[in-house]
Amino acid sequence: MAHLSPVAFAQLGRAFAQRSAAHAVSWGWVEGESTGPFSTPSVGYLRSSPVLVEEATPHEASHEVPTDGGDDDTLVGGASGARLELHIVYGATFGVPLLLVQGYSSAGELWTVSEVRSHLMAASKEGGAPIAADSVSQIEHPALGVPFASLHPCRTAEWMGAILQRESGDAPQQLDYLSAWWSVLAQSVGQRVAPADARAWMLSA
Amino acid sequence: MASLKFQPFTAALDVGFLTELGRRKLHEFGLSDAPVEIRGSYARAERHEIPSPFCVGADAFLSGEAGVPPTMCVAPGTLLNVNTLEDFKELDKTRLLDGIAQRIWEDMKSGEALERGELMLRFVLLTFADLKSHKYIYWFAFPALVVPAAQRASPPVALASLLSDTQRLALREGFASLSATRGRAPAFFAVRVDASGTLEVGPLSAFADWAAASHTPAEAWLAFCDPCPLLSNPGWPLRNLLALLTAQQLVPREWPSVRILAYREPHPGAAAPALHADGLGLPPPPRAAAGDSRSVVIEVHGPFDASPRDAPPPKAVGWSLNSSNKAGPRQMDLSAQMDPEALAEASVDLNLRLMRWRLMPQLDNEAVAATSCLLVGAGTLGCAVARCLLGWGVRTITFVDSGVVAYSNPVRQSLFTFEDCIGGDTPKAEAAAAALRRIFPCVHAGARRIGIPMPGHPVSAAEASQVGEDARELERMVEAHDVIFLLTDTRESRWLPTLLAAAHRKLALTVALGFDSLVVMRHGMPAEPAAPPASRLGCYFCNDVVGPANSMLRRTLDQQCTVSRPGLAMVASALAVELMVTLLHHPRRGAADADLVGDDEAASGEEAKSPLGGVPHQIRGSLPLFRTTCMRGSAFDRCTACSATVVDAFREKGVEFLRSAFNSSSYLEDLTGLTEMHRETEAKLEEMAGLASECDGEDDF
Ligand SMILES: [Zn+2]
Repeated sequence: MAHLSPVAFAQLGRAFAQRSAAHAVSWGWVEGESTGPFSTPSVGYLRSSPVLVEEATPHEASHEVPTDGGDDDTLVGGASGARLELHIVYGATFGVPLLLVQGYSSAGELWTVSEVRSHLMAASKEGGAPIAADSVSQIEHPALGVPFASLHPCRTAEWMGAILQRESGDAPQQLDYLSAWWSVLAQSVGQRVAPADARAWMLSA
Repeated sequence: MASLKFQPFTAALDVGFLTELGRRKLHEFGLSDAPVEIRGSYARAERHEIPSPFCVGADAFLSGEAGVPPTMCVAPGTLLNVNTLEDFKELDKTRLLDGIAQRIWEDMKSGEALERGELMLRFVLLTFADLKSHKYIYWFAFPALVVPAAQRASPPVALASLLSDTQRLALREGFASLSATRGRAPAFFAVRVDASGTLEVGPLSAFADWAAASHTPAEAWLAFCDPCPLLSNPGWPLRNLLALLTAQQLVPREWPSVRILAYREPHPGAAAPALHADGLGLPPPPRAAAGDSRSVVIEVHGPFDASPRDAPPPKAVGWSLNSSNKAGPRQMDLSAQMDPEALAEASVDLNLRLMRWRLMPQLDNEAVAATSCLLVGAGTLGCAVARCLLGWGVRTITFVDSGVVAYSNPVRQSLFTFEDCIGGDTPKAEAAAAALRRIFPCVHAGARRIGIPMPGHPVSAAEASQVGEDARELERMVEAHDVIFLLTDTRESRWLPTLLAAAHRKLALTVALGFDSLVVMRHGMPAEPAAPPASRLGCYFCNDVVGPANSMLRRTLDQQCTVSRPGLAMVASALAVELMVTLLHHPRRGAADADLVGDDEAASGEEAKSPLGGVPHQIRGSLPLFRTTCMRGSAFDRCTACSATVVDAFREKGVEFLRSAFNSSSYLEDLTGLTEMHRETEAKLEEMAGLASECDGEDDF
């Protein structure tokens, strides 16, 4: 079993965001906030650049000429897609990273959890381990307080332990937990990432 | 020459932004509708056919660029949150847009925009937040200065037709290292291709020097990160870049044209993964191929004469279109997602599901949640049982009680507060149900103010119809629920609910307290109605050798002393609910025979088990000993509450039978044959009564 402390999560999160510039999905690290002199500051979180996806039921784009607002040089109509917003937060219950997903339709409307669920289930069929229906549920974003769909993390520590063991032998602390974790999880949201860049898994690198 | 059409930004507002806006309005802005600085960001289009959205998320209120993913260009914006829908409609949009356009123009004129290209991406967000209904109206404007240069642009050509593969890889690397220096992707930048074909990428501010040193326009290009994926059109940021050419003498006057690159190159991806991901089913790492590019180049023809220093800004456009492609606001309705009740419900569900995921895959949360519970008695036990049921996710809980909340109640009865006592006329059942709804609004909490008719408590003629009505109402309640909890504080008040549960074959659980001892018992339910009594478990009355009678008068049995140690009710209530949940997981549910973990005989005898553990018949506990003991008692064929004789008589005569039982203290004993038995066991009865009069707890077993 391999768990992560909040402090380690924040350290890895910052480094993970910095290294993500070369990837199609890049990450920003949002620092945690201190709410008062006696409260422990919240753990920060990672947010992705938007992940564009095909919309299950495409929004009919009309091709009317705009009444105002634009001008003759404004292109009207055209394709638009749905998008996923991914966040990685610290899952305090399990002591592991937690992938949170929000989906938005091309019209900008928030997907329901079941819409996210069916998208993830479909995406995971194209590669990697299939996602079970009951592994996607709604939780509240620990920092934002808004509902996100979450991939339940109950086995994370278990398979992360296996990976870290295999890749590093006796020195699991040398591995970048977060990068290794994401390389496995990414396919669940239809992302194909390299397992890691060069020695990204190695903290010492 | 056909004029160039620009694809507008597709604005994408996150729910997190709106809730943060709501939070700030409540705690910070108040009624102020002064402009607030925010930030937005977009990534370049890349491989996808879909335009890359312009995102405003929860972090939009943070200053600087921290927290924005490094592939995204950051743009400064102005938020205007108005207080009413009327303000939203009446606000002078043209003036607002022109005001921001003016600032963009000034930054271009001063040269500031050359150093900080993102200033040309200033945007406006006009919002109205209806915080009560979680409805938000918003309208983005991306001010674009309209300049004639747009009319002099030739159609886009693919970058691949101008640069070799090697040069394009150099472009990507140059862009990556410029991004790395700045910490993020620049919205605008410059490209130099020298005479030998060597390609270099630099900041926007490098362009003027590069152009001056160039022999031909092919050697120095302007470039921008383009959110538009179309091969036939450029995206919105190009508009103000063209305006910059009017504001500043950036392109040499003698140049016939200038090349502008709409940068849409793919991200280089991971460099060299040597790591083996076997067993994880990982796809091979993606590497962007050189030919994999949607970048286009637009050639804009001169003349390039900068406008005078004090020239007024060109006309501006840029209010966004709504979903029907008309200029207009969009709406986001979060009432379904942000409704606090829905949030509470989802969280409660998740908590219970965590239990299943983490610890017990066999847990059937849905079956527990779907179980409706009738709580007869809304006192210390009723309150504690209800809270524990809520914890398990039970959604339907009905209280039956005839009392009102008294001043002594709230300290022990966990659903009441001081306020409930004032006036002395708040019915307990209703107050308890209301408290449950306050705790968890999604619960279906009901209340019935019913007095429970009791054997040995004679019913006068005047009361007869009310008592009959109460009995019928209680029967309807028993029928309507799955599990009946008997939580009153006198013995005889448990008689009618016991009988009704037996008659309607419902699972009944009894909790009874002495001063420092407790009994939790589930009443036996026959597998088949005709099953012999010995094969099923007894009820609360089965162990009796006297029928239930007025304990207030006789003072020998049971709960005349209703004062028990305060922790006792909590312990007993919790045990009762856990017993119910364990039973619900047993394949035979209420009909399961008594069974205990560690009880080898039972373990080998009965195959069917509850994954949660044993399903004892009775749990007896003693606080002085800090010990609970499980016991089994068979049904008694002369039981005054659950025997076939009594149940049949009730089924046959109904209220008539009940009235006889209430009015005559010996009716039930006569009916079941107990009277006769008593004569034979007089001596033993004396002995029992002697023990019982110590009144030190549960003494009726
Ligand atoms: Zn009985």
